[in-house]
Amino acid sequence: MSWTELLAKTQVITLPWLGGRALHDRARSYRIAGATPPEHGWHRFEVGGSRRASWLGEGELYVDYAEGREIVRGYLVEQRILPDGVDVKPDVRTVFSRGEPLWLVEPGLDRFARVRAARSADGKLVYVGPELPLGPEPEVLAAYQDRASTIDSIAGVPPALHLAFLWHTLRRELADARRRELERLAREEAERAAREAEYRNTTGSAAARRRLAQIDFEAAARAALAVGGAELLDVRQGRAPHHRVVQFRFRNRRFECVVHWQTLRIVDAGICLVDHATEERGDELFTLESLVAVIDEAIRTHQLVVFRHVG
Amino acid sequence: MSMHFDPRRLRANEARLNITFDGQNADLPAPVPFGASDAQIKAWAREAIATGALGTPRAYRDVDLASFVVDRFSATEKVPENRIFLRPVTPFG
Repeated sequence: MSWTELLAKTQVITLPWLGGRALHDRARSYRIAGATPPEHGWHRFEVGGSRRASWLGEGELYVDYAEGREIVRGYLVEQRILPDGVDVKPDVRTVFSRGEPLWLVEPGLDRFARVRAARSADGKLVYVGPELPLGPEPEVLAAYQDRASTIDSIAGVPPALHLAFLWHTLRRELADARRRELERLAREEAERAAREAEYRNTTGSAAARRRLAQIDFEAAARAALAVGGAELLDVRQGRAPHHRVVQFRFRNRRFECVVHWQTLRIVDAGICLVDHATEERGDELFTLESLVAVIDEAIRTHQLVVFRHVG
Repeated sequence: MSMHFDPRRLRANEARLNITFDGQNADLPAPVPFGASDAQIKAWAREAIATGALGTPRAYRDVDLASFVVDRFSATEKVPENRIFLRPVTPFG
């Protein structure tokens, strides 16, 4: 056998890939040539005598990966590990400063799960498996599920587990608050939608209001006034058979006008709409819908002269 | 030809255009942009009136809306949609 055959010998290794082209095994580092894996995870690579590695495909957690590496044990919190040796005084605000990111965490782990991680050559902690519980975990889990505010009565709770309990409790409180907020917004939105639907059903289109006037003049007048933001107060028969006297409130004032009952066209606006240059009356140019806008303009421009006083 | 009135809930940037013309009143069947210019609003109204799309008893050949006034009212709690009124200029006394 030639020495060159020894150099050319290749092997397949399984390593965690956490992005980039660098790949770290215990004693050697490689550079990935060609395609990189599509997602972080355990992957198979072909390596030869050089420092080049080629991605072959997905792999499975390599159980012996932890051998010869620094091992960290602790509790899993939000893709971080709270190491067993955290400070004695648990303060929920320090969860993220005391915890260290944990890569490739297996999905479906229990709440308050103890895990084992191995440090890769580039310093990252990689999940390598579950760790045996210390004893108080079931009681802490029961306290969490019972919404207990404290676990002081449970014996033997290590600070890391205490911190994990405080974090999960805070997270649940935040989620509850968010849920209540979303429910409140949904309730308000439903109320708003109901108001809008009622408005649309009540007002309809101009044509629908005139059809409605044939059978229920008061409802049609209320709808026409609502389009402009005015509120119907009263309706009574006018002097002519096809006239109706309509009283309404707009911008905190009461007004009265006379309209044609079928067309809702204004007969007498109740305010001065006379062009003094021509002595022409403008009342009949408008309808019950647009009269409100006319009054609004008259108020805004201080030109309102009321002819028909109400109340 | 009269178009069907679109009763859907309006978006925040849309408005219902109500037109008063020749003593008649009608809504443009489709919502319009609330930020449309007076010229745009008058153009749409002129087209709708002239073609009879508003469902008025008759169509009008010459529609002059040059002197007409455009009023804009934002949605309120009581009136939950933006409204634009196009109406004759007011001969206040």
